Amino acid sequence: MKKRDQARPRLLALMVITVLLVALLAGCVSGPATTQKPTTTGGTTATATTTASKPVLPDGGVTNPTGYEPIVNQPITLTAAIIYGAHMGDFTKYEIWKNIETKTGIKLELNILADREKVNLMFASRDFPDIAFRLDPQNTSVMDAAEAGDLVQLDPLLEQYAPIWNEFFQENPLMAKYVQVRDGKIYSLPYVEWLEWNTNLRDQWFINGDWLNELNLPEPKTTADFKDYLIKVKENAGKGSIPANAIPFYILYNSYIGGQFDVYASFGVYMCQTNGQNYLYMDNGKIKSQVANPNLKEAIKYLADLYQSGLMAPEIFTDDWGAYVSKITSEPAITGSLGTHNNNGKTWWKAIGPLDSGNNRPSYIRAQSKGVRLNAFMIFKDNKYPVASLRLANMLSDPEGLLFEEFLGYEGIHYNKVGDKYERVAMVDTTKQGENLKPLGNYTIALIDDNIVSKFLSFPATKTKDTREYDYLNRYKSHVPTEMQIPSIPDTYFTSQENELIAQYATDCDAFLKKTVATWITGDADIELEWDGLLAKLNKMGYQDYINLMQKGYNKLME
Amino acid sequence: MTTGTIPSGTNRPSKLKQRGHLGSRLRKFWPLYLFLLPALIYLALFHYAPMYGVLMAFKSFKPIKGILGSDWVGLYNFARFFRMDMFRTLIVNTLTLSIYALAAGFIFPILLALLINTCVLRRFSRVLQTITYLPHFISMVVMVGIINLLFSPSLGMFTHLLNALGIIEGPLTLLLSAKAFNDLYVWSGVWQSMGWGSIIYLAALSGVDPALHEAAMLDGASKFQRVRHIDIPWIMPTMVILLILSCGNLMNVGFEKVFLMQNAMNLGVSEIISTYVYKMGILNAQYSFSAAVGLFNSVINMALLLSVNALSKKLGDTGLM
Amino acid sequence: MKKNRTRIGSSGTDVLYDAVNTTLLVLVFIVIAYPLYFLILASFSDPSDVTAGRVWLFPKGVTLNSYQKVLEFTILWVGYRNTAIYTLLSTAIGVTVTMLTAYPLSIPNLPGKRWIMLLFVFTMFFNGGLVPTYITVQALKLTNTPTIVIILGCFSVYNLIITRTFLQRSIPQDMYEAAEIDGAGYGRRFLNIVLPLSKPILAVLVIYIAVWQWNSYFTALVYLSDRKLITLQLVLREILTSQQQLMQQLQDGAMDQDMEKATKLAESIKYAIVIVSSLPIMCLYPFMQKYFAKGLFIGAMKG
Repeated sequence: MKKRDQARPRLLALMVITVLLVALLAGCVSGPATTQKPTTTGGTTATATTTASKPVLPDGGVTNPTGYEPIVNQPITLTAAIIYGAHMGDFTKYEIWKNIETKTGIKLELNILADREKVNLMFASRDFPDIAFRLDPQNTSVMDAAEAGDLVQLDPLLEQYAPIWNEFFQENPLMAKYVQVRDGKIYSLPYVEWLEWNTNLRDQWFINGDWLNELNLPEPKTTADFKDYLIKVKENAGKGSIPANAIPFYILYNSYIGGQFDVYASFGVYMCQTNGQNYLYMDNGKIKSQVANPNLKEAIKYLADLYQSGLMAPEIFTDDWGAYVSKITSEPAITGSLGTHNNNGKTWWKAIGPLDSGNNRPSYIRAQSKGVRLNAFMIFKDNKYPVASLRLANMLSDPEGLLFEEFLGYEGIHYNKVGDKYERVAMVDTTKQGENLKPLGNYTIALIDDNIVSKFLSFPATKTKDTREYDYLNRYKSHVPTEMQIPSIPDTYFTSQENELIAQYATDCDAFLKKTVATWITGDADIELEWDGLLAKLNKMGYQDYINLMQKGYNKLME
Repeated sequence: MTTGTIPSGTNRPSKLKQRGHLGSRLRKFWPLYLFLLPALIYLALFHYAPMYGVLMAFKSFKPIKGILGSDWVGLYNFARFFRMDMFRTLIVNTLTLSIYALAAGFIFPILLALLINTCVLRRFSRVLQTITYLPHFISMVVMVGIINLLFSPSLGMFTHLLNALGIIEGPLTLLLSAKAFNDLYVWSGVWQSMGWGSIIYLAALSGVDPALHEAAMLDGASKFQRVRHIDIPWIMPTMVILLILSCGNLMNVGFEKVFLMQNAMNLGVSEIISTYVYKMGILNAQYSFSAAVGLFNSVINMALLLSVNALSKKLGDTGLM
Repeated sequence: MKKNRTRIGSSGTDVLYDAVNTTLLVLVFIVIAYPLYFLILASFSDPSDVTAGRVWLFPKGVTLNSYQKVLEFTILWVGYRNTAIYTLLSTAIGVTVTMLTAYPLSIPNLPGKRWIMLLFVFTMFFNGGLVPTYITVQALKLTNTPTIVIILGCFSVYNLIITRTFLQRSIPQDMYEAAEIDGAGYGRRFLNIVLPLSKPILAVLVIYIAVWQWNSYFTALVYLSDRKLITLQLVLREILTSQQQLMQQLQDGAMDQDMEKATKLAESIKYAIVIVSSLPIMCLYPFMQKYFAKGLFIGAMKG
């Protein structure tokens, strides 16, 4: 038995005290550092407003109150944070920044945040640049930053220095509400893109036109026709251009994109995805659930029938996003039908639907919310040139500024100027033109509202068959129930306690629905036995409380 | 310890070094404290200075106020965690998965090392060594991607193989099965880390004195007996230490791999603490809550490590501290 | 030497043992090699063929496309260079500090050893988290420097423990006593006794730390913003961009065309990426292998 070193009191005590002291000191030194930042409340108003006696140019005399070329009368540099998008390539090489610098005199030093972690870290450590473009931050992070005075309040500056946005908010008070943070003030500008074929429709429902022709079948108009088509695909697998391992109907289960929700919609069961899936929809100002809707049962049984007849593969449950994309873009095609945003240039995908399920309910197809992407542009308090920054934001949203270059791209490549209108080139081969000529698209701010669209933009694609634009206008538009969409409700309309509860209920209910419906589809569980008890089980997890909370927030939003 | 020869090198306190006056011992050992200095400085700067962050679990964190300035809420976050409906499921899933993974992940590297060490085909075993540690380099995303491809229900290689052999008909539903989730997770983990884990044991085994083996052979011991009575006791301390360290990692069962392997059909079993907290965090930043859950995990880990450590000291004399 | 000593006594069971041993190892070989082979095949095939299950013994739609695309990212070479430098320095520092720390802690009656050990072990469980660490690094003015990437994490308590265990097992007491009688100081003992006998554990540490540093990305992700300092894993991660992030960006619906192109790109190159990023470091092990060879220990013993 080893004799333990009996504690030598002095040595021990010395070590313990040293450790504690170090920790304490370190804590004291680093701790208050985070609270040492002075809390100001949008203290730039002083420099922005002109005093009555002598007009002073804003930003200490650097910025011109009007005109874009230039914005500043001496060249300045601003640090700008922006998140990374894999398909966008290297932002720093884009031509647009040079364009901005020559026109306005503002040089932008980009800090590309490659990961969500970095964005969270930036807000948590309060280590901010001058401005930020798209960051996709958590709403609570932005609210906290606004409360701490890290963000410049934009309201008082909008009228004079960002008239385009001022007008927009006056015409669209709901959008203004979205943008406002806790205290009803505006601290950031959103990204607005209201092209109806983009925002009003979620996915197109595609069918393999080549296979349809080979099987000598007409375009399916009802759910029964569709099943017929699928059966024929399965029977003829291995013949013609239908491969032996063809998957007749391929979806990405429970996914917002390419999921089974459009099948539900064909049965007249409409649901939208807000804060998770959860099978909710809007009915004249009331948020309701589809869980007790008997038509939903029919829709699920239809899917179960398809699955258990081997017309859908188990891969619908196991594939991840990458596998999904590989399958839908596979050449030669491997599936007979799927749902996705557009046909990706594969000419055999023909749009169909919505299908008539024969239950005398209207057939829908999913819409998206007409909203704005928040926090697309922010100005931080250490910025020496807040007015110049705001004027830059205005210019990027102005048709007479760089709106079209920034959003659409370059003349001759992305669009052609035909008279007054900017005619969008239908399919741009982005590999050919080089990365530096890409438009920034939805990575920054833009104001493409209904006015701009009708006045300036023209899309030849709307007249070309088999494009998303055409299919939307001619096929889907009348089936898209935008009034049933629940608008997104910003976190500001809930207390932090309510936000916590919503996060918990939404996660739990979504997981439960996802699991349960999956077992019904595979047949591992019996829908007849479990259907009636579903709502009760969900309510035990807080489903009704969740709906009530959402309703409360929505009412607050609308008042 | 075990029967048989006690390999030389065991620590036996020499009679030369007995307790002396503290002052003289400090004077004697001072170069050693100097050796310790770099690591201690590193520790102080990067581990102990930020240690106050642990308090985040007890506060309602707001970045403006910083961690020390945020409001103290005591055990509120912990209570919230314990009161969740999902709590019991999460704990059961996490523990089942980790204990299973720990047991399998502990044993196989040892077996592999012993097998390689006694392989008669020298060149084959060296090539094999290199091959077995390669899977360690595959990132988790690609690893799960390969699993999904090979086990793909209707399109995967195993489906074709099993159909051709007539063992099953139609798609292989392994990936969909909740019951098979733990097995798939653990054995793919063994596949990936078995070779890498055997490195430390091979290094330890390289220190076995061949004279012992020769003596045993002279005594007529078979290869198997030699492995049992010489090799295994020799690496026993390494085994024990690594076991203790693994126990100290019990609650940290890998977030990324489980998250990637989850699907609608196996959620009942595959939802573990870290994935659940992550999902909640997507909807709403939950700093304090995640900190509390993290602290809970750490406390359990540490308690486990100290218990297993104490147990091993009682049984055999080897321990961490 | 050894050869004429075999086959004395239980030759029967030995043959059985060898047979079973070899069979098991061959099985292990097949089980491990096939998925690796599949990985290589997939990197040379079209991703649609791979996910459609058309690839399993031979590549389909053979293409060097994936590798081409990966190598097109010129910043990849910057990443390679930086990672190589960071790995070298990190390994050197990490191995040195670990050995220097493990040695005193392996000496039987060092005063305060238990408490120092406790100090180390405590940090395995409790740490302040990302934000306080970030603030500390900021205070030290080490953000956006190579230094922080090299230092942070090169020393780990886990490595310390296994090194200490090795030293306790393998350095016999008599050596110390002999050295003490000779009047050698601790420094000399460390250099002349401990290090030469530690070749296996040194090899292990080199492998562990080098591979860890080569594969790590988190520290670089958090602390580096200068593109010139970027590491290999960060470049690759940027190319791949986790699928969840893409999905979340897609919630907005716009730009889907590009998003699907990006995903297709990621799918097609993720296998090539594994190979491109691992090839250099995989070659480290065979070099270190020889330090595990038996018999190295003997020479040192008899002295």
